[in-house]
Amino acid sequence: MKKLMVFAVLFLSITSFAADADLADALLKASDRGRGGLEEGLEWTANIETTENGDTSSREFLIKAKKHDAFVEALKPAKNKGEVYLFNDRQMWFYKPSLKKPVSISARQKLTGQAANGDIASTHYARDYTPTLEKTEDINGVKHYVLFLKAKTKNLTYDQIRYWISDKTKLATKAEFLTLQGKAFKMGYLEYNNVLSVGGKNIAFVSKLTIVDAKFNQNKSIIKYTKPQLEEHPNAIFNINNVTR
Amino acid sequence: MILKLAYLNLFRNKRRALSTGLAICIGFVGLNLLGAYIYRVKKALDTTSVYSALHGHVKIFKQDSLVQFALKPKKFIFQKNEIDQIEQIFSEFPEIEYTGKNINRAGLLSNGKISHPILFYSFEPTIYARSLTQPDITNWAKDWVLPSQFKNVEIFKNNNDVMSVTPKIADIMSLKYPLNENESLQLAGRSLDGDLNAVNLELGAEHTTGLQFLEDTLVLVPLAKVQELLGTDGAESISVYLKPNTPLAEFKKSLDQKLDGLAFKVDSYNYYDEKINAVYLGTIGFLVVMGAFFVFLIGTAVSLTIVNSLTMGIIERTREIGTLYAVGFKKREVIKLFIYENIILCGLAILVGVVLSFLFASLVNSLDIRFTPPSVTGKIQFRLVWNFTIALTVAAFTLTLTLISSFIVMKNKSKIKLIDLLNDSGA
Amino acid sequence: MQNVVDIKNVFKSYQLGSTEVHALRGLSLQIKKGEFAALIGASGSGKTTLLNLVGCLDNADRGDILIENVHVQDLSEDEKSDLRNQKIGFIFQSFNLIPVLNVYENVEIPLTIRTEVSAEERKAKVLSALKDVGLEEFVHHRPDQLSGGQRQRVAIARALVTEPSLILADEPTANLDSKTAHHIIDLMLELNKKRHMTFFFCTHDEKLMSRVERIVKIKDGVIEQE
Repeated sequence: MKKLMVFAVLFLSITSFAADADLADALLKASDRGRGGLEEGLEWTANIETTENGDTSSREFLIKAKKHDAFVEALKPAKNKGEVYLFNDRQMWFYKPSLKKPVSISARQKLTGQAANGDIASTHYARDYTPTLEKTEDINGVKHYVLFLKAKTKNLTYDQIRYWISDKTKLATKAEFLTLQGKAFKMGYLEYNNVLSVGGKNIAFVSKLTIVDAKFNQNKSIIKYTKPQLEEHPNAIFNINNVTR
Repeated sequence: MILKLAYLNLFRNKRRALSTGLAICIGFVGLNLLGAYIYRVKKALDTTSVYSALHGHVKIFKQDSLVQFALKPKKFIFQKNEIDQIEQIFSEFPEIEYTGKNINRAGLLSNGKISHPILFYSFEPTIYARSLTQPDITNWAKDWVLPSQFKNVEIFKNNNDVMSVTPKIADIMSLKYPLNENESLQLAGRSLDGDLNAVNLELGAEHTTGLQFLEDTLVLVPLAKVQELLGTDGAESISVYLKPNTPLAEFKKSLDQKLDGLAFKVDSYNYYDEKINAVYLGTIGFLVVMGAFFVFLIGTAVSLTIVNSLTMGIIERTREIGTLYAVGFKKREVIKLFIYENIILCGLAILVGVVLSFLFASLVNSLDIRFTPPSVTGKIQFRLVWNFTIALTVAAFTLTLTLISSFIVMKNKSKIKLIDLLNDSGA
Repeated sequence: MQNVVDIKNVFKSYQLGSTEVHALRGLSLQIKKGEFAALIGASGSGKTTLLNLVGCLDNADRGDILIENVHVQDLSEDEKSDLRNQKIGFIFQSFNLIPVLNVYENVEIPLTIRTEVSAEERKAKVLSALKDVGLEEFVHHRPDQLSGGQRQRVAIARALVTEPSLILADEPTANLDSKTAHHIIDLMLELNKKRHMTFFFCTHDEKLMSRVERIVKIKDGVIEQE
């Protein structure tokens, strides 16, 4: 009888772990949808306001995304117009018309201010990270799941992320970007005031991401997402060989 | 007369005199060659620091730029008008032969497939050409510079888009030789505004850093290209190349005084300053420690030989010393006699040593022995540069050593009572 | 007549192995200018000790030694060197010549440390001393090319070249055959007569004793008889 009890407790705890893992995966997948992680082709404009060491600057990009590919074109400022960032899965390229060949770059490098190259395109955290559910937390009366994301491979934009996902919307509202040692070096705050119609259903789409330096909080980048819409992109635009021609 | 007696005494025990003389001679030759080696390495370091590394004799930065430039390049770069003001000051110094502008940054070197993180140092083709054709380079550091680097001078003159890579980087980027037949590479980096930017660079030139840990990291890029990448017409630093035999300290002092008058603050550094040239100090420090160790060993050996032979000489001539006292010689005159003897021996040994070390150095140099020193890439010729000042210094050192050794022995031995000297039945 | 040497109540002992030897026990002695005096005594009687004290080669424990009225005890080592150089000539039993120097140079040695003597003067003195001992033909010979008698004559020339007030000799004929010994005695006597040099020497030699004007006998550290 005693044995059976132990067995039952063990069984229950295992199944509850499994359930937690399933929940974490499901939450992460759902939250990716609000940040461009869809099966359908998408297009939106991102405007980045950067404040760093007292200087402010602004940049604008047009993003065309489809599944794991993204084509990012700089619109502003004028001197950067025509520059292209191309994402093929985790591989990332930089190109501008004066270059004879594209340059392979890392998603980890800084794009501008606090924003990394990888922050600009659609998010596929469910693909790139292994989530574990740490705890739940109330933020402004709303229940949030706190996930701990660990990179599956090297050279992702971040090694580790602590990710707050709202129980109500199943969208991420807050992120702590951690170093390999587990120290937060940047904070991210997300808002979802865009609406995107997918398959007749309206889904919320990210409208603002504020990334703040953990040490110097006056150093920050605000990415504003506008004009999101579904768009069937030809596969050719995501081919690096076509870009350079 | 004392001198003559000392000289004659030298030949009384020929074998001992010969072996002592030989010890002094070998000691002298050893120290002289050690000095010659260190002198040569130092000269080569000086030359490569100034000319190959494009530091110039004095390098000028904006104040605190060494620490801050990488983080805040926009703030710490010299703007065009600031460079103009500095160059205005340069024109007041006739001892300046020429000057060059530099920007050193980190970036990515890409061949369209892979990107490799690198540091890029800028160069101005005309300044590079001028620096590599300096007579000092030919005299001191010919083997520290790749033969292909001398070809670069022509390449850079003809094409302003050509960069220079190390053999190691050529390997990493899968480049074929000859280099100029490769397609262009792309250099990506952050502009002064903080944006990612990239420029095309042609291949064709090669260099070596001379240091293993930099060999896969350092490329040379024309300044104009770097400026294009960074979106600036300014420079991080300005190198000042002086005419031969300009006293550096005095020049720097008066230059600093003039630079103080500028509206913006600058820092200036000598080419051997640890802050801009840590390798220099490290290498020299190592050589000095090694040198001191050998000087100690050789000095002790020579000194002991002298002490031994002198002690033997005194024992053999005890009664003679007594006789000299008896006819009225004073203690210091007897001491003088023995010290003279050793100084003459030392002098003869040095004369032979000068010839020997000169011959040995010539032999070693003509054999063209090449070796790879620790943390250095490529082979360097084991070259000994015979130098009069070094020979003179070493000779002075050997003589002093002889003098001190002799003096110590004589001071001890002359304590023996006079009467015992005369009664001694020895010899 | 003036005393060249005046010894008053001198004591001297020294350590020989573990025993203390009382070599001189209150010895007094005067030697007058121009004397030719021999010191005799059994071995261990204190002869050599006395000679060494007179020659300022050693210091007395007690008592006074005056050389030409100068108290030897009061002098520094350097001053004693000067005194030996200027007032005393030494002749040793085994000649004590410098083997690497030739006859001329050996005789010249005591003069070389005298700054007040010019080079010409020095040369004249050396040649004159060599003439006195009859070796003017041998100036360029080295000691090892000479016979024992010739070597002792070189030593005598070296002793007299400084024209000292006193010549001390320690068994000067002991290493010579009797014929040569006679020649050396002749030479010393001649120098005593001709140049009025004061000689004080110790000897065992009967030949020598028979020709000496004054014999001082020493026994157990005191003068026994004259």
